Amino acid sequence: MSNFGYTILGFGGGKPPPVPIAEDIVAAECDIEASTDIHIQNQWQFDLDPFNENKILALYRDDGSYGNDVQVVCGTISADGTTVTWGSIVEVHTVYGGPSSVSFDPNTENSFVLNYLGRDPSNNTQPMMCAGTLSGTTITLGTGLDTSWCTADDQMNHHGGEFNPNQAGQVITIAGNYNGPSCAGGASRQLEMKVHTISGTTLTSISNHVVDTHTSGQGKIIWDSVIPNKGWITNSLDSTYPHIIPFTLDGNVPSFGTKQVVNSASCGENNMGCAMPQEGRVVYMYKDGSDIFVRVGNDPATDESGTIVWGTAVEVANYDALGSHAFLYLTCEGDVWSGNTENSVLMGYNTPVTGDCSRWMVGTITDDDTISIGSSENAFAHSGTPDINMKCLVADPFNPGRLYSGHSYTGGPSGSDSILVRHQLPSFEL
Amino acid sequence: MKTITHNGSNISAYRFADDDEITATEINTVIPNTTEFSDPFIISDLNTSNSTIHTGVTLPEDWVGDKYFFDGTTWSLNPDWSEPVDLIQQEYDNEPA
Repeated sequence: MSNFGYTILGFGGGKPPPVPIAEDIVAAECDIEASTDIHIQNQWQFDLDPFNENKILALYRDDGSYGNDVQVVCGTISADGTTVTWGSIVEVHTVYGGPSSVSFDPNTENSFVLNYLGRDPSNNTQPMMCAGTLSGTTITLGTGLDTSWCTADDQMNHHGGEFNPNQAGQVITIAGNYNGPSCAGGASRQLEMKVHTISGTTLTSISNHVVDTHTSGQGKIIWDSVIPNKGWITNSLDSTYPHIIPFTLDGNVPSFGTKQVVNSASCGENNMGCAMPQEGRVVYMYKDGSDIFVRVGNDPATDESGTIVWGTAVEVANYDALGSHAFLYLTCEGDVWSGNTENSVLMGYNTPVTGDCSRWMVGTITDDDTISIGSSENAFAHSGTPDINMKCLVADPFNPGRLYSGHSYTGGPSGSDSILVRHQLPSFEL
Repeated sequence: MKTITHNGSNISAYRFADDDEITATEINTVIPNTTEFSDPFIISDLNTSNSTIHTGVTLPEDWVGDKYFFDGTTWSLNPDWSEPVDLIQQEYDNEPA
């Protein structure tokens, strides 16, 4: 997500005194299924429009009311964050599928891409993408494209696609391919990067690149906030240790740096990174066995050749101290703003404890490579049952220090429900 | 074979062929070319002060990272190790056909 030059005017003479606007990082929550025909089974993803404040685009699997297929809908979040007014629902995929990601183009207003797991009539899985445009909350979709590499049924591991903030219309996906052995020279769960371009609702696959032939967990792309066309891939490779791989793009051609192990202990599938507003700075959250840690890294290079220098690992959650419940679905995101909250990151994880299963805390980077962790709190008032899953965390491009997370849980009014939670980093200052 | 163990816990975290070059410094450990792994890589968190490189060792047949302790002579099972769970595959497997 790019910085949109937010400027606070009229203060002259220096920064005003701090004005804390929230002591509780959970500022509001919204039942997104409250008054519509939206019936989310248990998976949904969303993004926030970088050109239009409070506009949200949600991709989800229907709960069966309309056939278990994939739907997309655009809406407007109310000023207090407690309701969403949705437009018309549009069917994306007519066969049982699952959402992987939603991404707005930060360079082209009303342009977006959807990534989802699809299935062909023989029930083979397909990594699908679809480009779309918005007019208000009215959605126009292009044709869904199977982005399988060499077979018709690649099973990609949540192929999250992200627009490159520095090349309009370019989308990069990264994922482990379970069906890699079906391709000549491929390996099971090999890590692949795919490059695509979008013009209007027309989506074109440009190239596929094998980043690493060893088994990959769920991957994520994070873009450097300052250096154009520079980013990192976070994932678990080899012995399930958390890794990071720097990369750059020259047009549509990627170059990869040396893969770097962040921590030499198993994290399973649970690792997550995010970029901070400073050049070359990343935050990496990962499991170390049963516990969760976070550390700050600094990449000294402006290209893909850098060796990241990491600060001391800080414990986020201790398995034994918190009742020996498993920690899952780690997620973290920094504020998109370079300014008031530039050193804050919001982190969360799930644990199977009824009423306290989705915990959040704020991390504050106190110098180049040191992070301190605030106390954790439950993500929302709903008690829910233990399967509440964090699926998505997005920084608000219009409001410094504000982030939104998406959750699904069972035990709500319609059995399986989904909510949108607004978080406000308490370090925000006016 | 070679293995790198964590000092203190003696957990065996990596294995490499005897011919593989491993360079440990005060900052990190670098493996420019390996037999086991197709690409070079950097181990950011292991260095000369917190890890040990053992050479000429015979690994357990079912070796995987973190599963065994190695004290320089004897291998023993790490009781805290468990098979990693593939959550994503579970999600797919649980989907109705």
